[in-house]
Amino acid sequence: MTKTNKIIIWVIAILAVVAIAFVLSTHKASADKVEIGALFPLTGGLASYGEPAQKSAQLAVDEINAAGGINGKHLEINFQDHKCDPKLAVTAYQSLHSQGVKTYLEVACSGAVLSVAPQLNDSVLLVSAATSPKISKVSPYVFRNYASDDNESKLFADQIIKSGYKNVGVIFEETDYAKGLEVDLEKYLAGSGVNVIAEGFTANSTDVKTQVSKIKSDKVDAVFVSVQTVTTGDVVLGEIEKQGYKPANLIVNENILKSSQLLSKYSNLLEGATSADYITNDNPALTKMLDAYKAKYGVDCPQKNICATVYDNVYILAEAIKTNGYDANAIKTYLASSTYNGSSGTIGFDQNNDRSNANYTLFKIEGWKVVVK
Amino acid sequence: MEYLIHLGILFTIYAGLAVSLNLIVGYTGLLSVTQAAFYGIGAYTTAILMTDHGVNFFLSILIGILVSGLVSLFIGWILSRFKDDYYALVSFGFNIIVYSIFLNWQSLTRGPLGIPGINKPELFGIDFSRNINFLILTVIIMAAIYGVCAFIVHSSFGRVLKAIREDEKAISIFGYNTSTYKLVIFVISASIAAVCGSLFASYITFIDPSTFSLNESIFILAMIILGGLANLRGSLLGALFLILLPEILRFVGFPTDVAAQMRELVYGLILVLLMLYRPQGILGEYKL
Amino acid sequence: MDIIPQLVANSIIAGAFYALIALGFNLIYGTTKFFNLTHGVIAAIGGYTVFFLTTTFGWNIYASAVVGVFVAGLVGYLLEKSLYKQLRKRKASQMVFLVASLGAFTALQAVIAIIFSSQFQTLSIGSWDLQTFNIFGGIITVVQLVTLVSAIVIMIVLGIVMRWTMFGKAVEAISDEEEVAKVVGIHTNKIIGRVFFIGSAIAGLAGILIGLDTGLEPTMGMGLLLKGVIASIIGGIGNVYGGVLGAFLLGFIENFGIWKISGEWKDAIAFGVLIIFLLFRPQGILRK
Repeated sequence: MTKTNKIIIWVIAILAVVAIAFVLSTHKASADKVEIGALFPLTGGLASYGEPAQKSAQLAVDEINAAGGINGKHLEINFQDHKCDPKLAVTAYQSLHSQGVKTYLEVACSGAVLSVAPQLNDSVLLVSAATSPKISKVSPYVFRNYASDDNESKLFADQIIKSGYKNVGVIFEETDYAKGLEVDLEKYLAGSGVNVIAEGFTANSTDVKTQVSKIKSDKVDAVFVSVQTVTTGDVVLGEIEKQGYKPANLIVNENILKSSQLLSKYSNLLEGATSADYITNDNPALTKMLDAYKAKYGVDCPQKNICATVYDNVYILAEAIKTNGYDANAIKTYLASSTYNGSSGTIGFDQNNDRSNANYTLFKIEGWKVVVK
Repeated sequence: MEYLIHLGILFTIYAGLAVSLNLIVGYTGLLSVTQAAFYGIGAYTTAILMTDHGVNFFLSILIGILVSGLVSLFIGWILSRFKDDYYALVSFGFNIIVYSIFLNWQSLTRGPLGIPGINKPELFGIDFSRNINFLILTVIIMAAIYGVCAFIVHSSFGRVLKAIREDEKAISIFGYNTSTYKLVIFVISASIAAVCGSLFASYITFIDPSTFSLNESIFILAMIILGGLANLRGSLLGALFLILLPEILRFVGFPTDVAAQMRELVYGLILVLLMLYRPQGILGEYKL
Repeated sequence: MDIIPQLVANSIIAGAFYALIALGFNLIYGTTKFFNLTHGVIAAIGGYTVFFLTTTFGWNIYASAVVGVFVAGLVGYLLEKSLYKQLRKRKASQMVFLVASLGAFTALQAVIAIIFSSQFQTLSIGSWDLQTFNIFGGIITVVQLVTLVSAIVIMIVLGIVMRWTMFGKAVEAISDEEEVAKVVGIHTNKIIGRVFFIGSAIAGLAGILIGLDTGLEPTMGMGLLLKGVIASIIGGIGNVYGGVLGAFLLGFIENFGIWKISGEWKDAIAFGVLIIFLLFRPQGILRK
């Protein structure tokens, strides 16, 4: 490579940097639209969360714009992918922030929230479906329309002790949420005399045969299935069914409970299973939202808890901007003090900026219906 | 502005990783795909020491170098028996094994839950939690790393490495113990990667195993192949390009639902086209 | 100890899937001597073709499967013609092939995700889905049985073809020394093209069977491929029977390993076995 060529390449590289800087300095949020930034995992292992989240958010935006937008202005969502990778989440945030975006949505990735949080000082981040207890109070600008998973395991542990199970098998996926539940369950069961046999599998793994065989041959009193996605839920439940295993007592986490696809596909297996949740199922607003989703995209929302909370989050931000203008501090104060009736029920935020009264309660799956235990 | 500073910090960290990997792949001719493992060891050492034991950031960098150096001594010792595609495959394997350890040593690394709340350093009253100050810190450290690497490749030691790359048998006839050379450069490279990991952990404040997977090693490898093998400035260019590429695509405005996948597509096509038309990379001096 | 029959069944099932991947991979490696990473994504292409035909056109699963296998083979063939043949012409090194196939892998995976979205999809053969057989206490489904039978039948057929036909002899000659094969009048490009078609078609079949057994995801390729590569190497790379033997051995080691250790360590166990083999028996169990 000649010297001239090298110089040309370096000039191109420097020009690219300057061009980006130039685009940024000119590309400011225009006056006739209101922009929300969506930091979603659109690719990678949790894309199965990001996709329905994107569709739900777009559904809400289209509805809001059809009804006249925000004070006459057009509402727009700028979707950015971060693959649940903390550094990509920060990059996506910084990129939007430099364009003047002050309101953000996130879904499903606690790591992304935890790494973006320290960067926030004039923008609000409204989170859904990221359940790490560490998110509580991580920043005054982060609000979570979801429960911390702290008490989901506590409920299960209490139930296990109350039912007098001696041996409990756990099949868990190696992700922050699903493994978090397993770790907490062991913590809450420590000293109770209950013996826990935990079997993990790699995130997005499709072969869990031996994990299931092991739990099956251990003849445990109860099995707890803790998965991150509907996909792995399908894999684990499918394997349990294929091996002709009918656990004496089955406990499943929220992600299985909230998937209508899994509930119908494994109705026999899941009959009588225990689970926990905090969003009520028979809410007309939820049905309406799910119907609109189906009408718009031709498919069912794969996970109601994701769709409903993301959909609500768009409405909440729109409402907050409508009454307070596009100012993060005003929106922050507004969110901390007001409540909103959405498809996932009544939403307000407590002193930790978590969804208030979002405590999990136990449910039982009975005859296709989910009933309070 | 914050956005450019952020990209600047990422660039300096990846530049360090790329330059150090080029010592192995470009100069010594060994296709190592395990740089992310040592990057992770540095990051985890800093994260664990700073959050659980209140150790000073700069001390944690030194301990990270030590830990990474010891682990790389073992891995490098095994790797030095292989060459070509088997070397690549075994290094693949070590990345996956180290990743499994990050993921499963729950009591130490918190596994997939990750370690949040890692602090920014403080030195001489300068507060590095301001991103601009942190950028200055990473630039200084990267300049030092670049200097060390440039010194190595221009020294007589570096010339032996290049000779191993061109013809290992011939150089061993002259009495050089090539395994020792291959091992030493591997340990040096791994130690540099650990420094980058420490900086990353402190900057992003949260780490989990996903950042140190095989994909990350492939990403770093792509940087040096693109920029040019056996050319340190090429590594800088490669890191710059691959950091900026997704940002440029972000502004081109692909339809939102496919934009992220489009990026992967472009990234794959670049590798294919490079291999077809310029396998030594843009500024490279050595063809794979 | 009533778990043993099921463990054996699990190991054989896992081994059968790995074997299908290893068969095609080994055939291609044996002929062209490079790690064809696109092999994994081609399995996904086979599965998604069937998914497309059955859901969009309501085709019968068996007819779709035939087309799926053909499409996978065709994609492999086209990759060879458009990419690998060009690289061979340029006398590229194994590493260039490795990186180019990595690029093609990334690009194709992105294309699948753009067309079919990242959602998990399942294939179905209707009421056969849940039909199971109990063999000495180990439970196995119809699809798994079909996989096992296909793996063994394909192995035998390939073995016969390689040993007794002109095609097999030509492949053998190319594998020994491509230039010499050319000199003695073998149309090497034509033969390699066919090898890619056959190898990729087998991968396509594997993808379809995996879609029926568990399900399809755009990202399913990499994991599959790595297991296929490990199986090929421990069994004997480039050897038809070796790949299958290695696949079943890997299945047994993995499943019995996680019985004694724990499920989280499966990938680490697989790569640990690979490294041990490469250190102590690099040619694999069956030497070519």
